[in-house]
Amino acid sequence: MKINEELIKEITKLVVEEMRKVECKTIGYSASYGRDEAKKGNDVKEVVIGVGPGYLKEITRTINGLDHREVLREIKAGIEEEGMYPRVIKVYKTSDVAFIGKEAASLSGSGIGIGLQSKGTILIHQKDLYPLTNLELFPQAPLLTLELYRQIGKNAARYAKGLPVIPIAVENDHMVRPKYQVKAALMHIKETEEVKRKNPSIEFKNV
Amino acid sequence: MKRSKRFEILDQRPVNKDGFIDEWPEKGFVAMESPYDPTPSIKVQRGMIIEMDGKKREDFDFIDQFIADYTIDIASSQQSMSLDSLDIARKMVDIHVSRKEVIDIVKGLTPAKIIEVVNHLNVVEMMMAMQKMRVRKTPSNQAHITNMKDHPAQIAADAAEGALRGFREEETTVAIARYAPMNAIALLIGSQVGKRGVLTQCAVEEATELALGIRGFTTYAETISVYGTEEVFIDGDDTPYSKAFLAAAYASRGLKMRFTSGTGSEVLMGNAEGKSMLYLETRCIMVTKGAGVQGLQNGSVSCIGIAASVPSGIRGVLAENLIAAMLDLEVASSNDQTFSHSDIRRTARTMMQFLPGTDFIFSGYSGTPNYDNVFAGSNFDAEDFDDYNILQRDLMVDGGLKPVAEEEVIEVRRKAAKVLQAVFARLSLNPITDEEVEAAAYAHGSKDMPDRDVVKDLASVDELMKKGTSGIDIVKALEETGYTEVAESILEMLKQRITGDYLQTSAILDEDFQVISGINDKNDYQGPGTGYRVSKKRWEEIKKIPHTIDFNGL
Amino acid sequence: MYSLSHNSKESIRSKTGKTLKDITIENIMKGKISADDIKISKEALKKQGDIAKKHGRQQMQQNFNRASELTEVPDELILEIYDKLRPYRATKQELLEMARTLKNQYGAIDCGKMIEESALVYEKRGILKT
Repeated sequence: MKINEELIKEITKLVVEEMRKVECKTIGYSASYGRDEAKKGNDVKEVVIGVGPGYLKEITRTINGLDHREVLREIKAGIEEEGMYPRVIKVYKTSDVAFIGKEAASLSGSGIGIGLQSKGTILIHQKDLYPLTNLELFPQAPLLTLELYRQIGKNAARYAKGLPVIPIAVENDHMVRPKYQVKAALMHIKETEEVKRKNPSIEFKNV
Repeated sequence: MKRSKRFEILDQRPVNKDGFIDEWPEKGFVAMESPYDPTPSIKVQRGMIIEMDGKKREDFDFIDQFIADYTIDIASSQQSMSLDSLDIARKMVDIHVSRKEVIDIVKGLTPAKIIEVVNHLNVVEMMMAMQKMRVRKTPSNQAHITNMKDHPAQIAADAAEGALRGFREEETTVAIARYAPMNAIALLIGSQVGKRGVLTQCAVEEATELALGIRGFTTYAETISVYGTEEVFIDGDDTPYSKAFLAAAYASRGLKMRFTSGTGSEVLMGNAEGKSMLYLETRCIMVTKGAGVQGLQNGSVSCIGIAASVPSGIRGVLAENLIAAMLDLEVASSNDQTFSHSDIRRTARTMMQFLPGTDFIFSGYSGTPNYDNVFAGSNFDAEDFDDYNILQRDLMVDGGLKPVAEEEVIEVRRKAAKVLQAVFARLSLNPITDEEVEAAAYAHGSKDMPDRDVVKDLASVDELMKKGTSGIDIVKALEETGYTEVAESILEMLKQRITGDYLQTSAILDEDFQVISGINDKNDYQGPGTGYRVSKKRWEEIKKIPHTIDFNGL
Repeated sequence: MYSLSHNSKESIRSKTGKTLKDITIENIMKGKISADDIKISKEALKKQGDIAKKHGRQQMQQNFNRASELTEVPDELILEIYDKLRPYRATKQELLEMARTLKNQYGAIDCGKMIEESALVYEKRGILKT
């Protein structure tokens, strides 16, 4: 029994440590984003990426360790490859991926938005859909790679262009929950602590 | 440190890949008792609850208020609340106390009081209580029927096989959201080919799910989520009032439905307010009751990784199932999500519902291999069918399934895919080829299936929805293509919504479309010789496993 | 009384007044049955409500009462009301207006009442549309 407890403690410690590491990296971080309130875009060629309130702040890496800047860079590259323009906003009023995506879509000139949580969960949204539905959802963040994030950007751009889109096939790992759910909860709690219900979304520049 | 060889081995055991965490009540990582859980109390003034569990009415959040106004039986509440929790707990396991007597007490209790009661019970006592408290006398089982390709022929084939194996409800969902109508149709048809009277649902976003039901593509609904804190309820894009309205909407179209909730969801969604998972879940169960919904899917469900990470978490999961039964609700008791790498651990977790029996032991059991389970994997899957059947046989427990013959399975799978092929052609959906039908007949999972043209599939689904195609059109298509028997079955399923018999608590249908519910199959367990017993006929079914040693073959 | 499909086979009617016997494949093929014919009637819901109450399920009866009121409300309006009841979707006035429509136009008294109540609760909890 004693060993078991120790083991549990050890695992907890590791998780917490990992969380701290993430935290430490943010200190002195200089992602320069303006205070400008995010506006509704007019350009039909734009795709808006909404990131969660903890993005590049309390958290700097996704659940499987991908650097937040690199993730954004790939998504943007995917959008640009299709000849569309990415715009990044930071959403404060919610930490829920669907609502982040819905907010991004509502502000997007094309009506297509991407919602991205700090833990890496991502979806493609469209402004007229119900908040909790989506065009494509990638719920198993631990399985996402930089290549996939780029493809997601590409697909979002294709929806924005009104082209037929083949949704991205993602592996289904039924052991993701046992492995990652506790960590996902801890990361989400951290992000949710950054939520400011009354604050508008802001332009998130130079990232 | 020089490592012990034994500890090195132990460290590599599957169970040590699971996620565990120490109790952390501030963030809700605590199963059944948090230091921040309120103390039970109630104050009634002029027929209105003005204080509940130490909170004044003016401070109620929308969940408190809904429970106070709709759920708690005010007339009996003072009396019920004055009883000692331990006494109530003892009544739950006392075979001399009837189910009804317990129900009549519990309907007057507050959330905090209810968890005080169940905290007195150990898991064996909870199982004893569940045996008495579940609504329907006959236990049953539900399957998940999904695949990563959203392949309609495979859904139909797996639905047919699942029905043949004994599942009385089948649930699908989508890998790609826009496939929903197609998956729902494939499930509806496949299930009836396998065995008549199986209820089917398609778990998607709330409003879409209702729309599919109204069309007649599904015959019940389950994924109507409720949450235990206000913040999380809002993140779920609902309130108790919107959900209660939705419940009335379903009933107004004659559709069976249940809500869904589970311990751990508030933690996972980042807002547990420091309360125990069970306290928050009890609020969900009471919202369900107050909305007048007949039942609930609970048992942590997709948040089982959270519940299972804390001490007494799996006991808490059984406790939440039990509380739903105590509140006289149908319980579809989860067991539907992977939570452990350890076969020992996942089996132990399922025994909590398997042994006493619940209205639906799983909600659901994966009718496909887990790689195809779009709910991210169930606690038991198609590869466990024989293990499960043998567990039933070993313990003489009715878990709702039975062993089946290989030839028979291939036959119903082929037929289901063929019938669907005909219907697709008739409804101008993207055609199913003969090759796909054959593949579906023999497939284990979507890796054995040809790829679909997704763009064409989705375009044809959009077209079908625009045309306003309904269940009646499916019946017509079946009749026109010569599948009269299946057409009749689908029509019988649709006709259920005219009488509304299956809107009553814990309703399922038998193979003659007759309803079996908490009204005409009331659980009357009161000790040995009462309640559900495995009949002789059913026992013969359970016993007949394929791989027994043949004396003559030696 | 229960089950209605067993004990009231002859008398039970769908929303449009069809009996169970009317709803056959033959009639479907003749185009005599529409999707509306397989909807439940107000009366059937009331009966199921009585059965629920008799078995101690008061809240269920109330739900079936609300449901019976909604049988006359078109699908689109139901979906619209549901959407308005979600957080931050409607102003207090919009909710009260909806409640009025339900009461006056459809005689949906219980549903109207619940929506009026929700308007007050949403106001108190700050989840009205701003």
